Amino acid sequence: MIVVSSHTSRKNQLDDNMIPLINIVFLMLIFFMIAGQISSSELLKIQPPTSEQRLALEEHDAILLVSEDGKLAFNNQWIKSDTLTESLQQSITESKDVQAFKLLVKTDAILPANELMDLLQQVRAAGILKVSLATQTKTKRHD
Amino acid sequence: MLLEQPMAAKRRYISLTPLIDVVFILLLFFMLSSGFTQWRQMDITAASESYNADKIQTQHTLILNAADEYEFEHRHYPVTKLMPIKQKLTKSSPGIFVVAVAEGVTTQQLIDFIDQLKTIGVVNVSLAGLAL
Repeated sequence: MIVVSSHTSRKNQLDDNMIPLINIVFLMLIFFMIAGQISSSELLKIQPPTSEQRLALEEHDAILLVSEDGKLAFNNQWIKSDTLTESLQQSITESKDVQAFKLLVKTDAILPANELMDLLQQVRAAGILKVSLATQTKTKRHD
Repeated sequence: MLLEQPMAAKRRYISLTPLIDVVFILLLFFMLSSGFTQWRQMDITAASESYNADKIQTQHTLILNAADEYEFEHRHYPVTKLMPIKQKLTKSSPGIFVVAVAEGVTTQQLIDFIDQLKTIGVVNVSLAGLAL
C-alpha cells in the first residue's frame, strides 16, 4: 500500500531543487559582507595610484578628488581650480584646530604629475600643514 | 491501492521563497555598495614641520621624466638604477632629495619613483616644497 501526499511531495521537490541555489547565494552574500567595505559613493570615479606604502587610511577633515582630466571635487562638491584656495581656506576656518587640519588628496594614477605638483603648491599656499596622498596597495604582477 | 493523506495530518513546511527574496535583496545591496580597494596613504607634511634646518645642509634635485629616467647632477639614469643616490646617502649628512617632474610624467610614475627612493633608505624626499 502506498500513501501519497500529492500536494506536499510536489512542493518538497520544488524546495529541494532550490537548495543549491540558496547555498550559492548565501556564500556570495557572506563573501560580499566580509570582504567588501561599504563606503559612500564619490562624485568622481578615480583609479588611485598603487604604492608600497603600508600606512592605513586615517580620518581626514577634508577630501580633495582630482580626476584624470584635472576636474576637482572638494568634499564631494564640484569646484573650479581657481576657487580651490578659497574653498580650502574656508574649510580651515570652519575647523576647530587649524594645526591639526588634515587633507586627503585622492588623485587618478594617470593624472599628469605637473598638475598634482601645482595643486600641492596651492594646498601649501592655503596654509595646510598635513596633507596625505591616497594610494592603493600594489598587487603582485606575474609577467 | 493509493490513499490520499488527509491535509490536517501533514507537516507544514515554511516556504523558501520569501527567504530567497530577502537574501537576494541583501546580496544585491552588498554587491553594489561594497568596494574592494585597499586604501593606503602617503603622508606629505609641510617642509617646516618635518625638517630640522640645522641637521640638513645639502639639497639634491632629481628630475623625473616620462621615459622612466631621472636626472641627477646633470646625468641621466634609469629609475631602476639608484646607485648614485645611494652613494650620497652613505655620507654623514642625509640631505634632502627634491623631486621635480618633467612634462608627461604621470602620478603613478612619480609615486613609483618615491617608493623606490624610500626602499633604498632615502628619508627626506621633498615634493613641490612639501616633505614626504
